[in-house]
Formats: sequence, C-alpha cells, structure tokens
Amino acid sequence: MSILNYLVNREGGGWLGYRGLFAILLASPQIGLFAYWVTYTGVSLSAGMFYLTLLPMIVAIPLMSLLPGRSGITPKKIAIFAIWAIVAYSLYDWSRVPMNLFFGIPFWDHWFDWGASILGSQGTIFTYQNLTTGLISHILRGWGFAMAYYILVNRVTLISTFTFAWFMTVFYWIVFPVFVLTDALPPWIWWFTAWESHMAYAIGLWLAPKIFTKYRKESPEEMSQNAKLPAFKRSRKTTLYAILATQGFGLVIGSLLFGAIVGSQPPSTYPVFGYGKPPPILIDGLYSYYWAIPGAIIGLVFLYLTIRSNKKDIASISTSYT
Amino acid sequence: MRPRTGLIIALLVLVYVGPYAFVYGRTATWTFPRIDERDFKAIEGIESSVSPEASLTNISTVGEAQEASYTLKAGILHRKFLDWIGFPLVLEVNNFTFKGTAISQNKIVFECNHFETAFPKPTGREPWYIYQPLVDKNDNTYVNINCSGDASAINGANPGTLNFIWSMSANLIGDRNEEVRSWNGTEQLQVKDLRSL
Repeated sequence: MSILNYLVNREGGGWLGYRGLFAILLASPQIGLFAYWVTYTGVSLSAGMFYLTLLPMIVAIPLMSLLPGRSGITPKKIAIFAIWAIVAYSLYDWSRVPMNLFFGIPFWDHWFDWGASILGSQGTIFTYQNLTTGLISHILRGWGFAMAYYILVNRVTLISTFTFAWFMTVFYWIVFPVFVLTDALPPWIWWFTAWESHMAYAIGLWLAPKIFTKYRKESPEEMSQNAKLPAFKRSRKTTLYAILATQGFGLVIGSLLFGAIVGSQPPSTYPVFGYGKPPPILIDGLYSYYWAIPGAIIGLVFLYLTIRSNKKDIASISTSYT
Repeated sequence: MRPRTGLIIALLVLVYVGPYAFVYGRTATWTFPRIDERDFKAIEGIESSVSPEASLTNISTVGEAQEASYTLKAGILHRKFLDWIGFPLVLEVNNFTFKGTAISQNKIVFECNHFETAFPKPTGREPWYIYQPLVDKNDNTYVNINCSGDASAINGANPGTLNFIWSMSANLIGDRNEEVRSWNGTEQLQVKDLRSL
C-alpha cells in the first residue's frame, strides 16, 4: 500500500480526510494542556480544556454519527477504539510505579497543578480534589492519544505503535523541560522514565485489540472491512529489527535534546529527586551528544537488517502465491 | 458469563485502577507526610533579622513640635527550601508586622510600626533561568521600616547608641501548611544621621 493512500483515499478515510480530522479532535485533551504549558500556565487549564478540548469533542460527537461507513471509520469502530484506548495509558502509569518505589520519582506531581488550574482552587494545591481532577485530565490525554493512534492506522502493528510512542516521547522530552518549570533541568533518570513509560504505552496500544478481539466476536461488517486490508504479514524478525532501529534513532534524538536542553539552562545547585542538578551523565566526562553516535550506529544497523528482512518477507509471500 | 471471562474482566479492572489506587495510597503515606515534614522544617528554619543600625533621615516640624524620621532594616531569613520533589521554593510570608521602640536614658526616642501584606516571591510562571535567580534573591528578604519620634529626644548631631526593643510576626506558608511565627529581642542600635548626605 502506498504511503499516499494513508494521506488521501477516495473513501475519505485518509490522514487528510476523516482519519486526520478525528485524530486531531480526539487528541484535543493534549491540545488543551499544550496551551497551558506554552504560556507558562498563563492560560488556565480550565480555559485551555474548555476551548481546545470540550469544544472539539462536541464537534466530534455529531460528526461521528454523520461518518460514511466507506471511510473505514464507523461510529461503532470509534466506540471499540474508545475501549481499547484505556489499556495503553494504564500500562503507561503502571510502568511508572517502580520508578517511584525504587528511585523516588513521582508521576502525579503535576496532577495537583493541573487540578488546581482546572478547579481554580485557592490556597494549597495539595488536596485530594486537585489530585482527582488532575488525574482525570491525565487519563483523558492518554486516552485521547490512543484514540488518535487507532483512528490513524488501518492496522495495529507493533512497529506503528512504537513509532507513535516515539513521537509522544520526543514531544514529552521537548515540552516538559522547555515549558514546565519543575522539569527544567531533568536528571537522566527522568529521561529514562519518560522513555520506558511511553514504550509501555506502545505495548498497551498493540495489546488492547488483541485482548478484546479474543473475547469479542467480530460482526460481519467488521469482518468484510478487515478482509479489504492487504494480507501481508510481517515476520517477527522484521518487527524486532524495526523496533530496535527506532530505539537507536530515538537514542540519537534523546541525546541531542538532553545536551541541548540541559546545556541551554543555567546550572543549578539544587538536588532534584536526590540526583543533583545538572543531571549526572552516564559516564563521567562524556558529553551527552556523544551518545548520539552509538544511537545512530544501532539505528542504521537495525534499519539495514529491517529492510533486508522485509525483502525476505515479501519474497516468501510471492513464492507462496506462485 | 463464563468464569474465565469474569476473571479477565476482573483482571482488566485491576489493571485500570491499580496505578491510581497506588497514587492515592502514596499520596497519603508519602507525598503529604513528605510535604508536611519539609514545610515544618522550612518554617522552623526561618530566622528574623534586625539591622544594628538605624538612619535618621529627616526632621520636620509638626505644629509646634519637631518630628524625627528614621529607617531601619528588618527581615526574614532562609526562606528558600526544597519541596517534596526536591524543587527549590521560597516560603510565602504574609501579614508581616514589626513593632519597635528605641529608648535612651529612659526616654522613648522613636517608635516603629510596620505592616507588609506579602513578601515578594517568584510566581512559578517564570522559565527556569529567571526563576532560579529569583529564588536566591528572595531567600533573605529585608524591608525598610519607617520609624518616627520626638526630635528633641535625640542628641543633636550625634544621636549615638540606643536600646531597641522590637517584635515581629509573620504568617509563613509552605506547600500545605502555614504557621504564624513571632520573634522579639532587645539590641543596641547605632543611629546614623543621614540628613546631610
């Protein structure tokens, strides 16, 4: 299938059609938070989520009922995605639990800020009301991003879930240190936590349809829609190589951002999470930019292996057809 | 419903709510106690400061008498503290009141009465490179206290050393806790005549 089919297709289901539109509308909880961040909390989260989350969601509701089924996205599919989308962020949060227990990194510190900004609470922000409100807004964002993923792809694959999770990781790595004061000079363990939790999110994205398909029979409509998808099946080896290639290239991006963001900030003497600032580097005296080199090598080697393995997959399919 | 399906549903519910049950549990047993501990440590660590010098700034005529105006510095020290995640904050200081009486040879030379609604602190809306210097700047905060008294009570060109009795109080606010603290003391105050400068 050509990449152009993803952008535009005659049935309206391309990224420049219904899929793109719905992905944006349903990822809107993140857009609301983005307005709060980039203004250094100048725009309250309640205002951000009212204009940039609630209104897009209201627009999405009637549009869903008007969707032509031939686009590949039906209201029923959206409902199924909504159930699948709960798994990814749950695994994301589960993966952060050991990071708190072993390294003392909390993952709910911003929930108090978000809750206070949404509720407009006065006085201390550290209340259960703020925590609950912040938690719900966090869930909405994780759910919204997962919805966007399921809407964007024709078929859920490990490679696409990892690619999507990498997009989220890089977004996170940039936005938090640049726009969120308390994460201005994050220690390396923070970068690691952001990475591992998004990778858990990727696994959740991939796992959810597997769990639910096993326990729910597909309707004849869904079966006929799925039958339209190309029968190509990627081998496990190709998938593994591709995921490792994304990890290598991700390490390149992470190392560059780590160096650029940490290097652009004035150093601090304040210890954060007990690890000290500026963040300790992995090997004393080794500049973080240098980590991009092994990352690039890993990425290129596994990219080569992926391409080679993919060719073999295609060849084996053609052989089986002849 | 088959027993296996029920088990799967139960497992899924556990997967969904598990991290959030963890968060509430940790908030009650770790976050809040940690915040309280750091708040109280910060509040207890606050010290007061009164400058050992006062300045005679002006003498003005009020009716048939003359009033002398003085200034001195008083402040709150060590406001900077690390919060529960190790992030540097400045303790909020509200309703700061200062009272003082300078005495020389059993006569009141001047009296001070000062109220400050809130001490300056970073808003938390600054980027790090602005925020961090503000935290350091506001660690020790001093305010100018204006005092006044009968000009005849001072000894002309050389006001000399006075006995100064003072008290101050402020409402100190941490992340989750607040406490009104007060201090008082007596010290020797050197008065400098700055009128000619």
